[in-house]
Amino acid sequence: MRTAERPRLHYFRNAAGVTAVALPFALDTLVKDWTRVQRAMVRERPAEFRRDEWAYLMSSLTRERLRAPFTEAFGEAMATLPKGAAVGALARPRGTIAVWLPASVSLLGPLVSAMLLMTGSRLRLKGSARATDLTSTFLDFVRGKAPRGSALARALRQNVAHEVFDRDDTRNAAWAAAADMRVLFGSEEAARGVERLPHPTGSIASYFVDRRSEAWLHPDELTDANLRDVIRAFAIRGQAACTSPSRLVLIGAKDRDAVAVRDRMVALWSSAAPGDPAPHAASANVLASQWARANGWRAALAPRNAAVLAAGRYDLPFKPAALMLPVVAAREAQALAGLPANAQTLGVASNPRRLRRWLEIAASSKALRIVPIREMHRFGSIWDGRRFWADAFQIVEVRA
Amino acid sequence: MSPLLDRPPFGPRDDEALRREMAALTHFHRRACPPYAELTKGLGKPRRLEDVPFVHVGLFKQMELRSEHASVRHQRVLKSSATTSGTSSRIPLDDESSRRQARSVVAILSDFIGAEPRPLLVLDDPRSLRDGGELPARVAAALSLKAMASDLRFVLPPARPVRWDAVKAALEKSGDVLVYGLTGILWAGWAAAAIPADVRGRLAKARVTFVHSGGWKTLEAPPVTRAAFEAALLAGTGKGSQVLDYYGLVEQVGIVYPLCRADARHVPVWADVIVRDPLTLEPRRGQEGQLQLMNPLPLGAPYHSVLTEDVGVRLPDGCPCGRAGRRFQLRGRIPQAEIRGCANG
Repeated sequence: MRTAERPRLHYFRNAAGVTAVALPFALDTLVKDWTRVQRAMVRERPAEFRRDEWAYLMSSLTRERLRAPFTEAFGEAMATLPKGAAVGALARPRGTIAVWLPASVSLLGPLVSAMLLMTGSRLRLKGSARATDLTSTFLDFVRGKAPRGSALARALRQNVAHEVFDRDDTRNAAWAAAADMRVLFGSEEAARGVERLPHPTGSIASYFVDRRSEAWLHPDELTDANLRDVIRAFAIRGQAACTSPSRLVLIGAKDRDAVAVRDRMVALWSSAAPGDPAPHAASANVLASQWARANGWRAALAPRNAAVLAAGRYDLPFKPAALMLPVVAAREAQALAGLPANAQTLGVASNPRRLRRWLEIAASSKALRIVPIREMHRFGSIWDGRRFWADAFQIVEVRA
Repeated sequence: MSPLLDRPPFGPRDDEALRREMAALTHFHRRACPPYAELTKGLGKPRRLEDVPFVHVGLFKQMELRSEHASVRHQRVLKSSATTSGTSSRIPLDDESSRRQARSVVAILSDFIGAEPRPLLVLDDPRSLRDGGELPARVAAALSLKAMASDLRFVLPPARPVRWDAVKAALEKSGDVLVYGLTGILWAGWAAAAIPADVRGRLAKARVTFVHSGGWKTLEAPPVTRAAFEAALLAGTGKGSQVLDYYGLVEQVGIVYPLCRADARHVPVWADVIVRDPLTLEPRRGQEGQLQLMNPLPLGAPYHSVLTEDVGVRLPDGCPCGRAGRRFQLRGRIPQAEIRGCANG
């Protein structure tokens, strides 16, 4: 945050009271600038982004999505502060946030840069030379489309730095030493490496390490719509994203049901995930289907070798392949016990009648999120069990 | 022994005979290799060569497929060099198949470089042979030429120049020598090396046949063209010297596809190449696609029909080089793409 500029105060109210949020820009103005960029995204897509990736980014930059973290963290926005209203606290940008992005081709850079830019903190984003850099491409696009002299253009110029270097570079230590908040996406080893770097006392850290997610459906939820949601959630990144379903678990079903669901998903695949895979992906899927069949799975290829759907026993060993989705049946207790130690998202059918049960499961399982399957990749302000976005603010107690 | 091996390698084809042999071999491996039986479950008897089921070449890296039968006496395991994935294919060899494979290689190569035995100089290290019960692919490739050799010498110690004294000794014994090496090693160790004057003198009077395989990947930066590669090897060698490039893979040991002067790879009558659409696996005619290679030689494991990750195109039969039968062009590998996702660090 540039302290030279006078911060703008914005007010939000929730059950705990009113919070004033200090930002180096007018929130409405910045949101408007983003929506103009979003409109430009409809017309133009950099070649580095796949169509589905670009669509996902666009859907993350709507007015509602950009404002949602404020609402979730601080409550409903108030147009003005009523005379005599009490303000319980002031939230101000934490300062400098250093972000270590993963060494894969990832949407995390574009998403995190847009999301954290809204906090008013200064961002330092570290990319990897080992992968195509979507973050630079996205930031260049936004710089090119943000209206000249706009709040967004100013925020990008003043508050966002993106550099690409490797894990041995001295900048890692320099960034950690100067950051008020360290954020890392990557492996446990990478997180330990950043944590070992000297950092200011009082700074905070959020490390998002490798996690696995699952989709669960009950027999009465096996509709075409829900199966299409599973396909869409899986197809975008397969096993390579921590928010993708690493398997579909049919709760309370039988093994033979898994085969029937596999066949239905093969039939639904093209309507849910149109488009051809790259030839290398198709070949890898042929390989994965053969490995699966040779090892006891009843595997079938999706049309045009776009993926592998493999039905099998719940405890059958599975060798992860990029686009192979196991479909298994299990009792609920078995599925709960079988959640991986690094469980993240449990994707479920949207069904308010099961809310209480999901709350009970959330209370006693390792899962960090339980959300509708179609929302598995969609994050709000809570990430991996913590209020990540709100952590980007310091809360100052203020009493008059 | 496959009766097709008794025929000239590039004579008239009998694809019905090959289909029968492939169908019988598929049946054999289904009974002898349970994982293969699982992955081919539900497939009927092949009515055409296109129907012969394939094993994806990557599966040999992920699990050991082995056919157990009273008639099969397993020997060592043939191991490919580690790829970018860091894993190797493991192909179990057996006595009978090895005999067939050796005979096959000799028959194919003889058609290109002649059958007369001559000293064979291998640009590799004999210590590569001592790798427990495993046989590295590049050594196996060199040893497959052994039947064409009157004498075999490994002349490239690790991290050292070619042993030119050994080369000279071979040239003193014969004015006609075979030199084998992986493409990249042959370039770095011989073509780009400073050859001692006394060896150069011998080479100028000798007929040298260079045989290489393994592809051009290591010669991409800076790029070396085939013409430059061959010119460098042949510079200063005697009349009748030649360079032969062949394509082959560990998972199809015993079959090599030499490149003729018309830029085509020739398929012996006891093998076949099918080009498939990577997205549908349907056979393609006259179009580029993923290569399926097959031959009726192996008994020790079901590598008689493999789907490779190489890309090529079938050419019309009948070649300007004079050979009859099937031929194709190798166009490279299926392009790889980066991992997209967040699950790595």
